[in-house]
Parts: sequence; structure tokens; C-alpha cells
Amino acid sequence: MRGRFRHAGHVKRVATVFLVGIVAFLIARRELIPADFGTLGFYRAGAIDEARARPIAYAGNASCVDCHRGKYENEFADPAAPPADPVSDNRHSVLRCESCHGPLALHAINQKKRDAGEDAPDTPVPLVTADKLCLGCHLEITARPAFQPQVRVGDHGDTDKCASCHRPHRPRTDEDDEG
Amino acid sequence: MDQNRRAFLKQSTRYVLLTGAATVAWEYIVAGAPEQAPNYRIADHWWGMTIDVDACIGSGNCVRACKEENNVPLEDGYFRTWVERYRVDPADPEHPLVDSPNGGYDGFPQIDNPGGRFKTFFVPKMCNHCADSPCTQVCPVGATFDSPDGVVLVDKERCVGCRYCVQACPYGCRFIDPRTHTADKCTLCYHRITQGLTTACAEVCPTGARKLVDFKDPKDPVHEFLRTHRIHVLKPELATGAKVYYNGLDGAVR
Repeated sequence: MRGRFRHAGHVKRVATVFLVGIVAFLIARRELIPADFGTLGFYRAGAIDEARARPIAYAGNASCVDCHRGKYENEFADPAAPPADPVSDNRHSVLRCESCHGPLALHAINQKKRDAGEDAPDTPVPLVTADKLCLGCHLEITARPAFQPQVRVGDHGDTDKCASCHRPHRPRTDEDDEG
Repeated sequence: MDQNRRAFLKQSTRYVLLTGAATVAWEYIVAGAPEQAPNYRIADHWWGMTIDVDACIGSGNCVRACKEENNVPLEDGYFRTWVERYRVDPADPEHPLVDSPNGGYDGFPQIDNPGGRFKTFFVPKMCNHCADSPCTQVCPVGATFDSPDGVVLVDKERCVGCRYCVQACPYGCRFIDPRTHTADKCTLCYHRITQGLTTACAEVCPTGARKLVDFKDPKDPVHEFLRTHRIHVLKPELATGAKVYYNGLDGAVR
């Protein structure tokens, strides 16, 4: 028996090296893997909250309706044109406000703060330059489905002056209604 | 068919406007801590999307809104959602002509359709938020994952930019963000939908072709939609469990 372990010293040395290595590995592993990794699956649970924490750019129609329903505004700032409630008088298919007006979360948030008397910058709704916008949906191009009203450049009045006949919120003209 | 769609759009618009959750969450958005908004129970939702190909007019609104909302690089080639235009020769449906200039960001130019011979349509594309997503299966560090409410997300803190997921995604919806060198893709506007808002692309879609849907919500019009339309997912043969359902998808679309 004694003879067998006479030279055990080097085995111990190797065993020590291994043991230190394993312990170092376990400590490093514990330090490197985030605490919330693996609690829900093979990922960091905190990543879900991080994905939620982004600021929004588009406020969504509900917040537009909140303030603008029942407020009569003049669509063209033209004294002759009757004022219109931009929500209830919007007859433009199923368009939501931000389809044309662009992202307005900042406008809505700041306005809410200002209404509450807090200090916030004034962020008015930018004026929409309508013509390029109209053609984005109403220019006749291949693959645009037939149900969509489309104009061909040069065939339909001046394509650079849509707003001279069509009001953006109520694009159907009296002529359309008669025809 | 047309009548059906109109009824569906009407109903879903009403539904969206009536979500009280958005109003409550709004307080938190104003306060600048959206992730602390209450009443979001992750187990109560299973998110997906329906896309009505017949209703898409190729306005490019969704592409622009998505880049705006999610701070996606504006260069060509970086898209979380994009729109493709198909021209299919009925005599050779196997080889459709597809164009997507800048992903549809600037709209679509007029293009030849000799004698109106081709069948033409637009197809919006995006991450399909697969229930069995190939991209999450190949990620070596657990940086991309399926959230408990069925959205595939990327953890930018953990991503090492190895590009496995970019190759694994059969829908081509992933890219490497040139600023952070980490993987990026559609999050189904997770920051919005967990506050009761709809996605940016669905918000601005002029015809309501794209709809955010919650399969776990019994009141969601999606159940009616799936029952009354002939729907399809992209590449069903890959068994990815895609949750973006297309109505009126042509067989030429890959």
C-alpha cells in the first residue's frame, strides 16, 4: 500500500491546479452571467423591460381625439371656408391623423404638460405640405389596386395643386358627390 | 368580399379607439417612464399581425413610420419593415418580377406593365414573430428570444454580432445595425403594444391593411378575420410558426 502512494506528491500538485482552475471557472461564470439570465428562458429577463423603455414617436389616434374632437379649426385659415372639427369632419377613408400629420407624440406629451401648468416647450403640429403627400397614395402607378382613387400626372387638373379643389379632411368635392 | 373588408376595418377601428389601456398608459408616457405603466400582464397576450395584401396601396407610410419610430438607419438596406411590388406573368408564375426601391421608403415609381398582362400587387414584409423561430434557435448567447407574449426580441447588451440569426431568418427580416454592430429587426413595436397602442406601421397605414392582433384576446376582431378570410403565412413549409397572417397572398410570393 505504502509503495503505491510513495510518489503521490505530483498527483496532488496536478489535483490542486485542477481544483483552482475549476473554482476560478465557477467564480468567473457567476460574475459574467447576469443574475436575471435564464429566469424565463435562455435570455436575460431584463431585456424585456429594456424593449419597453423606448420613447414613442407616434401618439396614436386616441390621444389626438382626446384634445381635438369638438374643437373647430379652420382647415385653410381661409376666412371664407367654414371651420371644421378635424376629428368628426374627417371623411378621409380610414386615415388616422398621423398618417398625414406625421409623428406627434412629442406634441401630445408637451401639450398635456403645458395644460397641467408644467414647463414644456411649445411643439405645434407642423403644417402638412399636402401635394407630395396626396400623390403618395393617389398617383396612378402599376400594382396600385383599382379601389384606390388615382390620378395620372397631367390628366387631372394641376397635380401640384391638389388642395385648390380638395380639402384634405374631406377630399370628395361637390362634383364627386353629384357624379 | 369588399363589404366584408369594410365591415372588418370599421369594427377594428372602433375597437382600437376604445382601448382604455392606452389612456391609462398615456399618463406614464407623459411622465417619461413608459416601462412602468401598469396593467400590462404579459401572460394575457399573444401578439401577431394580419396583413391584407388586397388593401395595400404601396404608399410606403409604414416603412417611413417604422424608421421614425424605431430609429432605424435611414440608408437603403436597413429595414424593420419594407414593401415589395410584384409583377407576375400568368404564363410564368414561378418567376415573378419583384422591385422594392429603398424598401418602398420613397414610394414606388411608375413601372412597365405591357398591355396590363402582368398580375400586380404590393406585399408588405416584416418579422413574422415566429412561435418556433429559427433565429432564436441559433443564437449562441441568448441575445435573441421569444418573449412570453410571443414577440421575438433582441437583447443588444448580449448580442455579439455573429450574424448567425441574420442567416437563419428565412424571411430576411434581420440586419446588423451599423452603429452598434448588433442584430436588429422588428420588435412589433414592443414599447407601444405593451402600453395599449398599436404598432407604428399599423397606426399610419392609410387603408388599414396592417393590423396588430392579440390572439389571446377573445374580443379581438382577428378571430372573425381568420374565420372569414382565406389566409396564409409566408413559407409555411419551414414550420416556423409564423404569426403574421396574410389575406390574399399570391403563390408567387416567396
